[in-house]
Amino acid sequence: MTDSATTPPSQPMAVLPGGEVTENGPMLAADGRPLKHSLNRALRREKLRAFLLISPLLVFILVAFVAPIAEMLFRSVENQIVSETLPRTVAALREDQNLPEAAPGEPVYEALYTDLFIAAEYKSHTRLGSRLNYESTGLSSLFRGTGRDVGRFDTDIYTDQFVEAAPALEDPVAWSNWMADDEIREALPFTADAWDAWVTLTVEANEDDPLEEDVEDFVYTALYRDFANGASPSGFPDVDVSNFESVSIKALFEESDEDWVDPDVWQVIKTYSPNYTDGYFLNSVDMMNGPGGEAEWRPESEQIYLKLFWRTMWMSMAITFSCILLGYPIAFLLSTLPLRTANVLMILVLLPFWTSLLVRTSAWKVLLQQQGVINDTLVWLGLVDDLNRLQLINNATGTVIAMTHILLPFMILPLYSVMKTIPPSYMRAAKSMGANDWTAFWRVWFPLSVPGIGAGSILAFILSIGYYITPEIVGGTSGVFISNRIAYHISSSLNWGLAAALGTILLALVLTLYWVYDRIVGIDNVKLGG
Amino acid sequence: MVFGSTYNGRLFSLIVEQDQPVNMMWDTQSYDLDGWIIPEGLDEPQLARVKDFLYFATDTQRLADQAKYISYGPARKSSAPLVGEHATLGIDMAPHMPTNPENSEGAFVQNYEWWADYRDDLDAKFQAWLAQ
Repeated sequence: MTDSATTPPSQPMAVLPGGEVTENGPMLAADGRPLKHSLNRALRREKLRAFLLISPLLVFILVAFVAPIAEMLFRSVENQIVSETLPRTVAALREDQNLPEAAPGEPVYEALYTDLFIAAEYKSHTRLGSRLNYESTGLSSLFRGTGRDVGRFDTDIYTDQFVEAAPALEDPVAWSNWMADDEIREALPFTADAWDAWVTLTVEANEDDPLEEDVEDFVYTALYRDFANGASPSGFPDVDVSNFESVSIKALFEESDEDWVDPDVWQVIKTYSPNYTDGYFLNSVDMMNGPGGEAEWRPESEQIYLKLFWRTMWMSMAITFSCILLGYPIAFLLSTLPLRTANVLMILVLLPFWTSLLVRTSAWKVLLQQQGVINDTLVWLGLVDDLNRLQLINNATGTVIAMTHILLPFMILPLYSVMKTIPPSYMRAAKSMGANDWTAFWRVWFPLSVPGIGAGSILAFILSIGYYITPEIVGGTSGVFISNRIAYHISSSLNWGLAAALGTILLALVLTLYWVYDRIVGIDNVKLGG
Repeated sequence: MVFGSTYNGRLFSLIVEQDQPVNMMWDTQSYDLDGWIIPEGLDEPQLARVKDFLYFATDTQRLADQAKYISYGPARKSSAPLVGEHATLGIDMAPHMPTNPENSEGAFVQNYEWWADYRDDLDAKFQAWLAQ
């Protein structure tokens, strides 16, 4: 606080209540510290207090809103399930040269045997089947069916022959000793990998002690692979496998389901083996990864999402526009009437606003259906032929009518609060200078009410673009939005990746439109009140 | 004319109880079977009681009696001749049962494996067709 009445402006001086007066130095507070610091500290404390006050809300929003949305968006590209369920197969496929012309070679099937055996024990193969079924119909039952068979594959001939050749190979304790030896592990890579997987499986999934269980066939199958590759580690029973009766794992898979030797099936698995995929996004715009791996359009009979996005856009615009048309006169009336009358009318606007969404939508069902109130009245008046009743619901018309009604308060309230602040004297001034009613309205009142239209339009448009309940009930087939498909994929088909991709695109669209709106109208030009 | 499909018990109630202008078409009806599940590891007396109940609940007479109240089943062939009248409506229930020989011609059981594979694909095509 400076006292300019008693001091010349060239000599800054601070007089603080109860403080000292300093000349030519920094202003000091009561405790002798520079005033600037004290003020900053007070401000900081103020800010900290404000932050602490909002922190519960902030934490709540982060945990309950931002994090789930981010997680959901991440699902649109996430695809770990293939490489997590079939790690060995994915690695073997990378080495394979046969695709896409022919089915992969034996090593891939040997890897798949181990993977699928373990997956079937964890029952994770069905989930993988469902995931891949989104990309190629039939894979769900392929994985389910072979998941049931894989435990009964005729690989026990290896077990029997090994145990016959070296009885010690039956003993899990001996196995665990060999498998602790790094040299043996290095010499028998497939066996070591299969052994580790079997131990984890026995402990985790079956909750058994591996030292007391029979070693599974797939470990012996891996052992045969290692020996057939010419391994002969020291300290491990030396078995001559050249006379062993062998079995083709590929043939076993083919016996279980001949789709396993279909190169197209393997191409799908290979295309979707990376940890991240663009498949869901391609699907969201009616495209897919073709057999060669490049993106291509889906067949015409399956294209739907672009159409739905476009419909969601133009219908939301139609709804916003009809909200402006209907809401503007009402807001104008409310803001020019005397307060007492305006308040009564305001209740009529707010009453539907407070009524349950479902009740209002169901009411429109009663009103609009072909045997409903509106059609009955029109027929009674003779305006519509009884055999030719208007189709007002279960189509786009129904959605526009019901949603305009539901979103109308979101248009009227911002319009009203902006119009309320336009001084009536402006209109009087315009008229006193010779403008007629229309000119005064159009040149003075209307430009001043534009921020209200902007705010109302943003609210109505953004709300309607993500609307779900009303289109679901009154939309029929031609009046549903993209959100209805998102909801379907979330709760019925359980294709969350696709739902997430659709949601991400919708979010990006809204943000883009918001940006365009800001460019054209200017977001500063939007007022929600005052 | 409108054409649709739903559970036949609901149609029975619509046609017979509420007397609505609806007719039944049994041809290519698809049916589904319900089963009883006994949890693993029951002790003997409990298991005996459960089995006793299952014998009772699935015996010929009981399955036929079910038809007194609702037009489902009977799952047992031997129950078919015992199907009588509706408990309150007093009408003969046999012609309304899905397992009545006349009705069950051309019936097929729901194939869940097929639906697991084709449901999403079918739905995508159906929705695309609807949106045209």
